[in-house]
Amino acid sequence: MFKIGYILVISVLMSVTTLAQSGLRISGKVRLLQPTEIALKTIEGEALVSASVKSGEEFAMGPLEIEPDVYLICFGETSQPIYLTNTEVTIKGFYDCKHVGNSSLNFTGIEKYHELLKWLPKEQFSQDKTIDPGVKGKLEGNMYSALAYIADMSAYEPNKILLDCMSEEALKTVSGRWLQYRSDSLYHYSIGAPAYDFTFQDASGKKVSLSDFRGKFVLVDFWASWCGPCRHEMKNLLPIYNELKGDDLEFISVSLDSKEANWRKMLEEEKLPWVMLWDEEGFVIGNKPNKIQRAYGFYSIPFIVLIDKEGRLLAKDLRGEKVKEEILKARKNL
Amino acid sequence: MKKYFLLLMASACISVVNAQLVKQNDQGEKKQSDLDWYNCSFDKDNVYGAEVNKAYDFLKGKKVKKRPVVALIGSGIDVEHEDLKQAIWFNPKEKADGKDNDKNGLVDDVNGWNFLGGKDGQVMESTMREGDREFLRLKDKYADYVFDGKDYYKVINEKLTKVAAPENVDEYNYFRYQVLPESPMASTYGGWQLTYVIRDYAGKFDKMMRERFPNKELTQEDFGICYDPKAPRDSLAEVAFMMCAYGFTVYQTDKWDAVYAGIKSGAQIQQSQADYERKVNQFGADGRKEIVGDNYLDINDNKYGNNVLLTTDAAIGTMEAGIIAGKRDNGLGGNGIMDQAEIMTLRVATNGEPYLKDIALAIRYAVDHGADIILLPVQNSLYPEDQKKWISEALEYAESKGVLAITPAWEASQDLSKDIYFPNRWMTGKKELTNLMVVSSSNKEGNPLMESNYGAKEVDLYAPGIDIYSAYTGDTYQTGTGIGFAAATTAGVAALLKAYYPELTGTQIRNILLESVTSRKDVEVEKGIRVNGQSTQDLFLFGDLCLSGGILNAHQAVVAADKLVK
Repeated sequence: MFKIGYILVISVLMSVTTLAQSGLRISGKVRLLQPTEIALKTIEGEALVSASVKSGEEFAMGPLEIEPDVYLICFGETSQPIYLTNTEVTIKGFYDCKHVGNSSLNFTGIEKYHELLKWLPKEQFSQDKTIDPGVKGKLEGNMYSALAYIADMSAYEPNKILLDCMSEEALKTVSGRWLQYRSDSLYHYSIGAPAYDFTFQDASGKKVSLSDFRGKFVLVDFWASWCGPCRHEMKNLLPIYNELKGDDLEFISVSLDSKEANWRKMLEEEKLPWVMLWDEEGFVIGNKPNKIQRAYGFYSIPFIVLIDKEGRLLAKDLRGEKVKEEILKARKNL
Repeated sequence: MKKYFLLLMASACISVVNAQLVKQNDQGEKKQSDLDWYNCSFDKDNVYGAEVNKAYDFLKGKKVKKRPVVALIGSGIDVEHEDLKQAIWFNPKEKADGKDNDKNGLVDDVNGWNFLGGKDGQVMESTMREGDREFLRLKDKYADYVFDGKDYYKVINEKLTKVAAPENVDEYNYFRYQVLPESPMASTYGGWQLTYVIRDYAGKFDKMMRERFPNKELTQEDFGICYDPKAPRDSLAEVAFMMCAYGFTVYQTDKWDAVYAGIKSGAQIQQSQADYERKVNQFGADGRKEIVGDNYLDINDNKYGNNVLLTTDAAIGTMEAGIIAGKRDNGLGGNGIMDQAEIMTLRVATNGEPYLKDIALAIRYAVDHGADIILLPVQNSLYPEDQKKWISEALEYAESKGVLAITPAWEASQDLSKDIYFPNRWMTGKKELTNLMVVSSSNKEGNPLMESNYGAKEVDLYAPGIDIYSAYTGDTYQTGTGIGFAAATTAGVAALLKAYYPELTGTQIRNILLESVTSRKDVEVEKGIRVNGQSTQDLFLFGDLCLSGGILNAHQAVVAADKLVK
């Protein structure tokens, strides 16, 4: 018998009224396994108000005048982003600090948050999430940027959709500024944006930068010697290179091997005719992608991008025949 | 296949642990048949509920003669829940004053007892598997024997050495055939031993080949002579040959020397030892000694635990209590089946498998403190013999006092006539228990849960237990599916009978419930089964899945009880 007794939780009954009043007030009564601190923080981490709460005892925080925005309600170590306005918010339910999934909290006075949740992307993974453009005009103020914050989308486009919905005024709020900044940084690896200018060493130890090739189309291929599919992909690049090579085109393969020896061994084995560079930072396994991964926004290799003569990103995530197609298209569009 | 090496980038914007504490409201305007649907009936609401509403129509004008006490032997509970407050059992002779007012040896057992608690208020949040407990109990005696079907061996000084058979062969066989399959720790321990056996045999194979092919570089082809299908073979040589042959693939060579060097190096031995140690770290302790401090093998060591009932698993008990006794028609949550019942909570189960001693003592506590109905933890496939006796005797005690016990069947698509689970009616080895019910879950369409265990004699009936809306910890409500929910529905209906017809004994209530089901006997249903350890499905007549051939029916039960009592 290897299973345990289980409960599959499907949904919670939610809230009713908003009381018009001045300032946000959070009160309630929750069941807890141990005394817990409940705190309200801005998304920048600034603590606004907090209360030490015991199981089954009433607690209250505020009133305090807030800018309507997304805030973090923190139960002990757990934090939940939630859109708050100057209303009376009550919380009841159960918070389980040991198995957070067992928790069940019932909020009232968070209608705006519920309104915004209707537009939350359904996709599971951050990089797949999209936003329905129909959201425009349906929310107000910085609810768009709050939605972006709660949705946590790693592609540029859906964040940009929400950014474009916002007024000058709304952009000045905390989440507005956050979304502005977020979009700007995501823009770096969106099509048409200036590609991050890297500098790595070649086999002779010479530093080579992407900007050295201005005036040419540059195909950059990120790979590593241990990555079978990468090596397969490189072999596919060779006939394309031979067919299309010319003064207006350069190929660069950037190795993300963590050991230089592995990279050099591969150079010997493959003997490819284009620029071979090594990023000594390697392909970082774990929760911290390295600088180049962040700059180009990729989580897996092989990853191939095409850069135009001015150093702007023309196409990304290319594979096989797509490489040839994109190069030919780029030449034609000149 | 687009992404070959997937790395999840930690979101740059949220640094603290993030969880979905606020769940979205999609409850909307739902009907009872979508929520606490066990109250419903097929003719009125189009779902195969237990017809509780119809039972109340029949009972109109009759009076509740007794507040039945239902003991939940399982998880913790939220005793302050707004929809349950009126239905919480209070020990009439106990006060929360730090003293043992009722002299039962347990201090402040006001609403029940937590057998997984310590004197300092700490509580256990996981329990080991029964198989792992038994493995550790018997490990020193039997774990080192290697049996090839004929002779016994042990690895002595890293050599496989023939030894005398164990003194108590029956106990060894219990260990080998019943405990080992139930213990992940034991299987890695066996794997570790096997690496010694393989190394030992590799030496024999090496010698064999060198004698046959002197002065030759031995290859995979030569290795073939070590396997002679005609000669009588023992299973150990068989396994060792296969594992050595596998070495040619692992080391990607056809040279025997390379394989033999690899085996001789002892790398596998170290690796499988590490595997075992990892499992010991993972499963080998649950803190019972430190937190509770009793000897779980001594039934007379029975003054332990505490009265903390709000625990991490409390949601399960709260939902079950909501089904049995949530306040009816108050606009909160669902309608419990018998809201005048009193819920006594005896916590013995959390993440893991409960200790049989706790269950046995909890049954006795329940009976001694006036419980009419007992909800037991889910059945288990391994009940060690001595401890099984404690449960048998406790259930016989309950039977003698007219108390009904209900246990959920496990959910592994097994046929209980072939795979024995406990408790069951035959476990005492004497006459069949008449007060024990085994219950599986059915859904709104009146079909059995695909994975439910079944048995034409072994399972009593099916009862609503899937997608049920009920009270949840902290004055909230949830829809959920729990392995004990069908048993809770059955306990609720049993409590309903007891409330209006208190003269009925547990045995009589069981008989009434069996005879009064919504019969589905001749209905053909799809059911998950297991064939040679593989999950598959087949068509069954409902009548072959359980004794009653149907689904719990409160309305027909009260009608039958009314007739019987008159």
